[in-house]
Amino acid sequence: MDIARLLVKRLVLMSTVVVIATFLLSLLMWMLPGDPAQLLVPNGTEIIQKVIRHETGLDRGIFGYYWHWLSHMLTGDFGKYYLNGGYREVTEVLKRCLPPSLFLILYAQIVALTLAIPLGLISAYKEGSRFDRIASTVLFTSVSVPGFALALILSLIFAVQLGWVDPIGYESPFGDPWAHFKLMILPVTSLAVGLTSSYTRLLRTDVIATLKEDYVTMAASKGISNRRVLWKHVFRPSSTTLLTSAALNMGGLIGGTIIVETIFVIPGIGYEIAYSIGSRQVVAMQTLIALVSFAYVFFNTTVDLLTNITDPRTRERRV
Amino acid sequence: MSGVTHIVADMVTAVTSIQVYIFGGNSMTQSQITRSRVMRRIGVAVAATIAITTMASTGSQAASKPNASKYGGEVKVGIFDTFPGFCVGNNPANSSLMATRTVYESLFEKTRGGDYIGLLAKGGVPSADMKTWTIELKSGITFHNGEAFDAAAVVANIQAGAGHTYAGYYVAGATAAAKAGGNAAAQATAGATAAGAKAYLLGTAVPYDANIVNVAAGDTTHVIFTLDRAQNDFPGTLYASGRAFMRAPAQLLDSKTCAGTPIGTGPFKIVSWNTDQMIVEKNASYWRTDPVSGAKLPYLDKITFNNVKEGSQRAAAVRKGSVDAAMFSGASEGTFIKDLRNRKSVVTEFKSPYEYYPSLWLNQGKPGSPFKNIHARNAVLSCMDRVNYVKARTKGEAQVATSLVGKSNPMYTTRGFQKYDPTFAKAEVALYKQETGATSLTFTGPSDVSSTSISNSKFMQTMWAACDITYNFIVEEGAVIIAKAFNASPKVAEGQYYNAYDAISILLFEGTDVTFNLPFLVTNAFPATSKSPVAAFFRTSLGTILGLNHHSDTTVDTAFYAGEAAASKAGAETQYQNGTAILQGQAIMGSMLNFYYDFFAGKTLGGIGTLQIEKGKSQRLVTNWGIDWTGVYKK
Repeated sequence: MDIARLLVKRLVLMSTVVVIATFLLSLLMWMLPGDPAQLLVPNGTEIIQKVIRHETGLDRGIFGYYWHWLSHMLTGDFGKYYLNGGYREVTEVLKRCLPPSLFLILYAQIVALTLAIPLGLISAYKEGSRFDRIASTVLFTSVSVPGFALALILSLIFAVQLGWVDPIGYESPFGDPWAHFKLMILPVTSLAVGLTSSYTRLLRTDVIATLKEDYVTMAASKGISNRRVLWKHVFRPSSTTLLTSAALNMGGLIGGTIIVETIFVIPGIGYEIAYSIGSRQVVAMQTLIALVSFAYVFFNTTVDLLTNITDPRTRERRV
Repeated sequence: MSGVTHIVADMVTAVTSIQVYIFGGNSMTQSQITRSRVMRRIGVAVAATIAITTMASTGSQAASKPNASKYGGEVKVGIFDTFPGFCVGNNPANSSLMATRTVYESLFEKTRGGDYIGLLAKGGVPSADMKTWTIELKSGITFHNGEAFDAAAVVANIQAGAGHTYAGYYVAGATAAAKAGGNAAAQATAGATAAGAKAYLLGTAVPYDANIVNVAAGDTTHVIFTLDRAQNDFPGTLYASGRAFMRAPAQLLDSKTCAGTPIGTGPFKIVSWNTDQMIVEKNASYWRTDPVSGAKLPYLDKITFNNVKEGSQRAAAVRKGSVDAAMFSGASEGTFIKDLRNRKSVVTEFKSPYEYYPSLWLNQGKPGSPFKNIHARNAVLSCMDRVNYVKARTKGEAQVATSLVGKSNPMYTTRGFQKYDPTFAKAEVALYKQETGATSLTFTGPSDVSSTSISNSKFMQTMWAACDITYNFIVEEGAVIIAKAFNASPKVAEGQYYNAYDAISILLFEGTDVTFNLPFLVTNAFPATSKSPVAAFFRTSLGTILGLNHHSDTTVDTAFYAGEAAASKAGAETQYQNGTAILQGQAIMGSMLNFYYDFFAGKTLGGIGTLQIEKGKSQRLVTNWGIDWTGVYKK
C-alpha cells in the first residue's frame, strides 16, 4: 500500500473515530442529571434558560444538539462559556490554555524519553545485573508514588525548604525564558517520573525480546560492537511499543495534567476541563474533551503512520 | 451537607454564590450616617462615646506623610476562589470578592466598630417612619470609563439589581402589545420577550433588595429610596457585606459584556481576567486620598490575584515569596494556618473575628423530606457532636457554636438552641416514627467533591448513625449543588423543588448585624403585604429561594421585621433574639461552629489595615473578602 493511500485511509478512519467519540460524549452529557441551562444560570428565569437552550442546541434533541455543536466546530466556532450576563469564547480560552499544557507535556516527554531510552537499553542489555535490579526497583517505586503526592513533596523540598524554585506560577517562554524553564522544573519532573518508569519498563521488555532474535546474534558474531548492535539493530525494532505508548500519552496528557496544573497553578487545558465540568459549562466541556479525544486519535494515527514507515514488518503483513 | 461541612473550601463557592448580594447592617448604629436625626435617636451618651473613640483612634493611627518610595510595585496574591464574572447575577466568592473589590466600590462600608460609613455616599438620612431614606452622594467621582458617578448611576444600579429594570421592560412590552390590540396572552408574551432582554441582570440581589419599592434621583447627588417596611439599618442593605457594587451604567446596558468587562470607581482598573486569575492596575485618577496624610491613592501599580486551590501550595508560595500575600479559610485550612502562624519572621498574620456562622438548613418544603415533622428536626439537631467535630475536622481552629450566630451578633441567644443529647435524639426518632409511620429517620444532603467535604460528611453520617438516624450524602460538584439548592424555576411536574435536598450545610450567616442574614430567614423575600412593584414577578421564584428551610412560620418574619423597624438598638436586639429563639426552639435550623478567615502577608507589604475611610474611621481589617488594597504599599 503506498503512503498516500495509507494516509487517506487513516484520515478517514481518524475522522470516523472522532465523530463517534464526540457523539458518545454528547450522549453522555445528555444523560447527566439536571438541566444544563438551569445549571449555567441557576438564578436565571425560564426565559434566559430558554435562550441558552436555543443557542446551544439543547432544545433540539440529542442529534440536533450534536449536529449544532459539530457544525459550529467545523466552522471554527468552538462555543461559549456562558456567564450570567455575557459569555467568553472557548477559542479565547484555548489560545490561553493550550500553550502551557503543550509545553508541559512536551518537556515531560522529552525528559522521560531522554532518561528512559538509555535506562531501558542498559537494563535490558544487563538483564539480571545489579544495575538492572536497582534501576527496576527505583523505577517501580517511583511509579507507585501518586503524581500529586510527588508534586507536593517536590514542592516542599525544592521550593519551600531549599528555595531553589518557585512553588507555583507560569511564565511564557517568549516573555522570560529563564523564568519559564525554572517554573517548569517541578511540574515537568512530577509528570516525567511516572512516564520514565513506564517507558523504561516497556523498552526493557522489548529489547530483551529483540536481543534473542537470530539477526542480533548474527550481527554480534560479525564483530559489530555491542553499542552499535544495541543502537542500530536492537533499539529501532524494539521501539514500536515505546513510540505507541508515548504517542498515546501525548493525547492523554493534554487533558490529564489537571492535578499537576492545579498544584503548580499552571493555566492549562486540564484545569479548564475541570472548571468546565465543575461549573457544568456543557458546550465548553464538550469542546475541550473533544479536543483531547482528537489528540488521542491524531497522535495514535501519526504513530501508526510513522511505524509503517520505520518498521517494514508492519506494512508487509502476510495475513 | 456539603459535608455538613460548613466549611467547605470549595463550597465556599456556594457560600459565595450566595453571599451574593448581601446586606450587612448594624442594627441601630447609624452614627456613620452622619446626620443629627440619627444621633438624636442613639442618644447623647452613645454619641459621646463615639466621639471619644474617634479622637483616640485618630491619634493612635495617625500616619506620617508617605514618601515617594511607597508608590509603585507589583503584588501577587494567592486566593482560593474562581472568578464567575462581574455582572449583577455573578457572585464572586470570598477571596475572589477581595479582588473584585479593587475595581468596584459600594455606597457604604463597615468600620471596625460595626458602624456603617459612607464611601461613595456621604451619608444617609431616614424619614421618621424609616420607610424613606435619602442618600447623599459624594461628588466629583467618575467610573473608569469616564461616566459620572451620580444619582442616575445609583438608580440604574439599584433598579438593575432589584429586578425593577427587568419588570419595567416586561410592563413596557405588555403595554405596547395592549395598545396594538393584543389579548392578555399576547401581552404576556410580549412582556416576557421584552423582559428577556434584561434577564441577565437577575440574580439573588432581587430578594435582597425586596424591601425597595422605589428608587429615584432627587438631584445629581441625592437618591431617595422608598421602602416597603421600616428599616433602621438600610445602609447595611447598600453595603451588602461588601457586595453592593456600583457598576458603570454602560456596563449594565450590554448583555454581552456585562459579565466580562467590569467598570467601577475603584482604586484599580481591570487589565485581564479569567476563571482563575484577575489582574488589575492602578487607577491613576482615583478619587480618594489618605484622610490622614493627604497622600494620593492607591500606592501599588499592579496586583495579580491567582487562584491557588491547593492550600499547602498557597502556604508554600507565601513562605517562599512567590506570592506577596495569601488568604485562607479557618474552617478548612487550619493545618496551613498553624504552620504559617509559627513563621513570624517570614509572614504577618491578619485574622478576622470568628464571625462566620455556617448553618444546617432542614428543608421543610421539599416533598418527601422528613423535616416537616418537628421530632425529625429535633432528633437531627440534638445529635450534633460539636465539640468533637471542631476538634477532629477543623484542628481546633473553629469555635463550637452555642447559637445560630456568634456572640457579637445581635441575633445571638442560646434560647432553644439544641444541645448535644443522643438520648433525647433517639427518643425523638422514636416519636417521629410513631407519628409518621416511617420505619426510619432517613434524609439526604449534598457533599461537594473535595476530600474535606466528603470527610466531613462521613463524620456527620457516623455521628447521626449513633442516634439511629440515617444520613445519605450525595457527592456532587459545587456548581450543581448551588443550582439544585437555589433553584428559582423548579420543574414541579418533574418532581423538582426550590431546594432539592432534605438538608444542606452552608455558610450564609455572618457578621455583627442582621441585615445580611435576614433575607435567608424569612418565609419569602416578598411578604404577602409587599407593595414592591416586582413582588408579583418574583414571589414564587427568586423571592422564595434564599430561605433554604422553606419553613412557613411567619412569626419568624414578624420578629425580624419588628427588629428592623425598632426605634432603639435594645428594642431591635430583643426582637432579633426572639426570632432566633423561634428558629432554634422550633428546630428550624442548627449550627455546628463559627469560624474566621485569615490573611498572611509577606514582610514586603505595608499599610495593611492602616488606611482610614475618614479620619478616625478604619475599615474592618479582615473579613470573608480579605483586606482592602487601597492603602497597601510595597516596602
